[in-house]
Amino acid sequence: MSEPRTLLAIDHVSKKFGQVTAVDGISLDIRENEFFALLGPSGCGKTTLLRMLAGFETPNDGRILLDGHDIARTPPNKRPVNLMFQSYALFPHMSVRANVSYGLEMERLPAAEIRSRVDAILATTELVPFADRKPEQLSGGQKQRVALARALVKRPRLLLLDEPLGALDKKLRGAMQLELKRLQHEVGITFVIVTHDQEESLVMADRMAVLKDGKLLQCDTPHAIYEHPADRFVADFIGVMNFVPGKASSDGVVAVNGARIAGKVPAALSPGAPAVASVRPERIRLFPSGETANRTTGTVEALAYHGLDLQLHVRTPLSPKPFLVRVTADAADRRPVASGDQVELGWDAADVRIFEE
Amino acid sequence: MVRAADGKPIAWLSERRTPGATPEGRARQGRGGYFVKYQPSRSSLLMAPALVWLTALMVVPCALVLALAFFRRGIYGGIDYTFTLENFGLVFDPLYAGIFLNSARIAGTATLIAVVIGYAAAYAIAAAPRRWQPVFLFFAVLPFWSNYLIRTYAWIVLLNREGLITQLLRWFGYTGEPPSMLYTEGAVIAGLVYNYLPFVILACYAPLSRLNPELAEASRDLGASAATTLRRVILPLTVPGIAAGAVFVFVLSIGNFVTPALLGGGRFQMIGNLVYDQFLTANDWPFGAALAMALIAIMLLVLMAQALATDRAAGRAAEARGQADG
Amino acid sequence: MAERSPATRRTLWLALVLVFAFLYIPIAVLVALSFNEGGLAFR
Repeated sequence: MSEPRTLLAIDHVSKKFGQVTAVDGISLDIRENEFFALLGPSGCGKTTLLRMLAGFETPNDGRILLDGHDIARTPPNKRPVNLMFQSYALFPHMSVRANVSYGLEMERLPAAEIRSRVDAILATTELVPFADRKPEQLSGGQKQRVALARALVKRPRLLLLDEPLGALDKKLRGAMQLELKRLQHEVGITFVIVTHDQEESLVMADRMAVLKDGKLLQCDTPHAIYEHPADRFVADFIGVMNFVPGKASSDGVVAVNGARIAGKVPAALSPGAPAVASVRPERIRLFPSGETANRTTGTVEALAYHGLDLQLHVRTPLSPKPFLVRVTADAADRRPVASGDQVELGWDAADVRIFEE
Repeated sequence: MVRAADGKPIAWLSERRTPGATPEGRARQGRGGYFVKYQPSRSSLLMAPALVWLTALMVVPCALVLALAFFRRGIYGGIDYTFTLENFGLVFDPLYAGIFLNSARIAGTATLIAVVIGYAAAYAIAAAPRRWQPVFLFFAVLPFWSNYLIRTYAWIVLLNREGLITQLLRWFGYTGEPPSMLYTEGAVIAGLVYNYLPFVILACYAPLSRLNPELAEASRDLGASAATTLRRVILPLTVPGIAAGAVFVFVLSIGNFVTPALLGGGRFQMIGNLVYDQFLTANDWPFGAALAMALIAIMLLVLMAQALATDRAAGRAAEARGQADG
Repeated sequence: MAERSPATRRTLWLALVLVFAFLYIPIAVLVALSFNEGGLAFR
């Protein structure tokens, strides 16, 4: 496979609002046809970054290169970039069809072409029966599809989506995640999505960037970020992680109770420095049969049944917070546990990630 | 409680004025419009003082004036109590119909200018930093609280032959005849615009400040220029404010008699002067009453047109706000 | 609200300044003249 082409290069972009630095020297490459997610807690600068890509904010510093041309100072109506707003921002006085046609009318295309392109996108987004309705007569999911159709019909080089599923209920959100991904493949447009929902970006994104306080912490595939988080914040923010605080040693972390957690220590961490060892809940085995590098015993405090799996909260001497352990329904059937039971936990050194505290 | 002559309660008088403005209102409109089933409530009791006041001081005097219009004028002034319709016939006399048209033209021009200036000002205020907006609004409305006559006299000072504008022109080196600005139609329009502008600003500011700013952004994002965004998105969604402001200026301008008297100079320039003259100078009360009734009819038509425009726009305005909240 | 270009911002400020000038100059003139003994025949 050939090396994917860079479509958008964000080059040391910064944005200040008065004294507050919202985006602090971020550099990112977004590739042609990829589904890219900007992820971070609220206030991390992801929305400001998105608005700079759309043209609603101008960076104080840095360049935004689209196909090699700096568009940082191009007004929003002159960019081949479209934004799907979090509030959808549908024009309430226009029908669905008029909303979708609006962007093409602005390009002064012939009426026949506008008609055929609008018809096509309404069919793709399954909105044909609602073409003559006003936005107020639509459900949340339908509004979301109109907003998407209105942006997609312009055939932008880059489609930006600001929390596109934020206003939908949980069940619909799951369906729309897959729907968005299918649509992205179908239209062949690069998507950049902003979200605070780590699960959403894990499911949808080809690659994702984790932001915090205006800075880029890590940019990689969801798998790489989940398995090899760059620091303690990313490890905690993406998925669920069990942390064992302590001090670094040559081959692991010594916990507060003196127990040793074996794992690969990063080179930057000198022995004796405050460190934290971490392990994902699904990597911990209950009553391990074979030999495991790390072992502990604990008391089951709570059980949560999730259908596919069982989540145990296990109080251990290793950390002040209980360990979260995920057991498949299958394994739970073979050896049932109840609240208050003493259990034995084990995990491999390869599954341990160690970070600076 | 509102009761008709036969003692039955009149439901629609205690109904909201613009049922389209709320979702429940729209639902009600869909089922039965304004004339919904009457439900007695405590709120109608609270309305009683206002209704008594209005009946005694608005409805009764208006009815008296209306009755007056059907009588003949006495030979030495006063009223001859014999029934006639000729007062209304005289209203359509080309001379008086012309004054009506002239008044409508002057009021219409003043309305247009006030709405353009007021909308621009309201837009600029709504675009200002949030903490400054109440300050700007306050100062926009402040002149409105000073005396109407004083505000009108200020324009005499500015516009008279040796007034401030003439002096300013002289100061810039103008040596010719002083321009005649006072006692012109232009002076009347300037006076009307000046007096009613604050209300237009207030009326236009309300929907502009509630508009979801993402709607304008979406329009820009889809390729529209700022001007196209104003014309196709912002203006259509702020029609209720424009309509309220415009109706206010038009209704108060077309019946105005102080401003045309002070700044217009001419005797019968506007219908308000004519009515004033019939009652106080010509002593023809019945004809004055007929003119006044014709004026009220025009105002009612304008108000109905506004209610219609607002009702049609109310749905989309509510939607625009809903999106802003979401 | 989106960032406005400097030209747009200037236009908006100009609109505000003009409207407030229109609203307050007549009143200011009248207030100034109220200190003039000669009344309307100033000068």
